[in-house]
Amino acid sequence: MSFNEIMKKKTWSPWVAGALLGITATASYAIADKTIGSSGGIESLVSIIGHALNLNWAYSMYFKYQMPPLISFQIILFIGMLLGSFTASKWSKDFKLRMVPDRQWSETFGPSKVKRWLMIFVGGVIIEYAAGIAGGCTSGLAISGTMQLSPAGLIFIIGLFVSGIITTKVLYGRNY
Amino acid sequence: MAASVIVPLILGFFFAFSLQKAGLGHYDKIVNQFRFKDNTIMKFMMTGISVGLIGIFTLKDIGLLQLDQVPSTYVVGNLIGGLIFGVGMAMAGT
Repeated sequence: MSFNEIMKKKTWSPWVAGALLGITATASYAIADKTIGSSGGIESLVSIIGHALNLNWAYSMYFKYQMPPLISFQIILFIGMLLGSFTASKWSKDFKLRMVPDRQWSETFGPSKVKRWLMIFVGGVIIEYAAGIAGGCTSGLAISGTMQLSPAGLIFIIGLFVSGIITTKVLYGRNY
Repeated sequence: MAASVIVPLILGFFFAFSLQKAGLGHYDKIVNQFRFKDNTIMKFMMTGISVGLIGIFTLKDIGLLQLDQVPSTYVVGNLIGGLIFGVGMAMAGT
């Protein structure tokens, strides 16, 4: 199979994609001495916005020292992530602007766009809030933490799956 | 200066590239893991962790890096954070 054909495949075997993730994570550690993550970058962005608007909370200890308003490693990582996912999806023609996810969502929750947007917004707020409590997100804590054999990552994965399964069960009801 | 911009750009590129190629950009993939209908996330995450584990500890053993980025463990915080996180993940499908 040529390189072009491989790139045109919408999805790769999860084992191959996972190996690429592991290599990227190792490279990040070796070259930049940083672990791959996403939730921290959002907090840095929030800190930048808070300082720019001169808001009171931006001068709290947390946003002054823990998450200072700097263009951090993770913010630049975000730009790279946008480029990477765009390249992958555009090349395989998987790229599409969707208001509502394909099929499964509307079969379960109906065609309402407002419902989808409300749920992804509330879900997103919960995700970032929880990442703040736990000390990282799926990438920063569950993947990067566990690959350093940190118990934090494993405990986080357990919590995530327990409540994820229960929440999905509640949301899907009889369709679960 | 140039390296501190280019390195995270390239790392981010391959990170999101792997996520996209595993299909994690799609709502169904995330939620169907919680419904036990599609094990892609488990396979993807566990392969990533295994490869990274071997890579990081090999480089550590030959002295090319120090394990100085280990996230601190505080059981209650990690667990409660994880429990809340799962709710958001199942709702948003991200």
